[in-house]
Amino acid sequence: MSDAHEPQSTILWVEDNMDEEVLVLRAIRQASLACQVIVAHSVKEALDYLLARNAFHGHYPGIPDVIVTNLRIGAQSGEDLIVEVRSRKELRLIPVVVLTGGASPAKIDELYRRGANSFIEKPTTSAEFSVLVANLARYWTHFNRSVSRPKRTRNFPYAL
Amino acid sequence: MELGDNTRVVAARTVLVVEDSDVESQMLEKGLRSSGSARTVVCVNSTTAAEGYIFAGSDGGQGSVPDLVVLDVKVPPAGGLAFLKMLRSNERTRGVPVLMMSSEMRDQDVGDLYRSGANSFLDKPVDGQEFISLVTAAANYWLTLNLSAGQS
Repeated sequence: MSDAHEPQSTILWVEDNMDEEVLVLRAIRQASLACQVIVAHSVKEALDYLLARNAFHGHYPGIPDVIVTNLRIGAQSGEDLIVEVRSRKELRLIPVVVLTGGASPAKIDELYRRGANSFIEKPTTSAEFSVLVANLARYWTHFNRSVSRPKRTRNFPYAL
Repeated sequence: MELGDNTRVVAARTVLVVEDSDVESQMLEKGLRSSGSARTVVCVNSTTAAEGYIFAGSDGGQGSVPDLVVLDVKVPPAGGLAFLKMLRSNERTRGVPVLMMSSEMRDQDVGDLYRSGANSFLDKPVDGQEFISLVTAAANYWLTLNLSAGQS
């Protein structure tokens, strides 16, 4: 969050598994995407970041271009995070992508009803997971336009 | 794009393109077809025709719910936002991913799209080749990575 080298885009990644956190950060770094990744390890930490409170009090981090959350975060659910985000005026329009390792069609349906923008099943191997992370990050930080990410003016190579 | 060993990926996918500009409609079709993930691409030039395709009023048929809707914001006569709201208010189409596109969009108008249930918004690139590449990348995302409601 340095002011001197402000990256173009920000992803809030909600993840409580340390191994996956390492994979996510590495995949995005290796994809050479100009984006910073903030990892929150619980729903509370994610909301602290989004609302600039507690550990994030005193500096406004800026609204992320996308929130990527696991469906299960310890004992909590990404669904709780979606409900919180969609119920707050200042956060309501942030795209939310839900990652899961196996969810029933009924659960997927419910998540969309709650306001998820996209739902993605995690692949089983770490190699596939890394490819997925890079493609997902590229789509939401470089292709999609959100309210917090103004229209891109320079030309850009589009490929997934 | 590298794809994993996942049979979901090879399933036939139908994309409904709702775009009134012939030139842009052709670019959308080209971009969708080169992704390899869209088996069938149906292009219509009005919200009326799109409604007819999905809900099939006049011939008494059931209509067909596509796997992805690519929706121009300014398409006549109803406009993309009104059509989006209609899709979201109907039980059959509530879960269909809707990808909206426009070439000139103000930030507050982008907000209205998300508020009304758009899954994603893309600015149409001015350059034709870029336009096609973006659509190909978007099709790869929405048809092979994303799982929509009612799809398993």
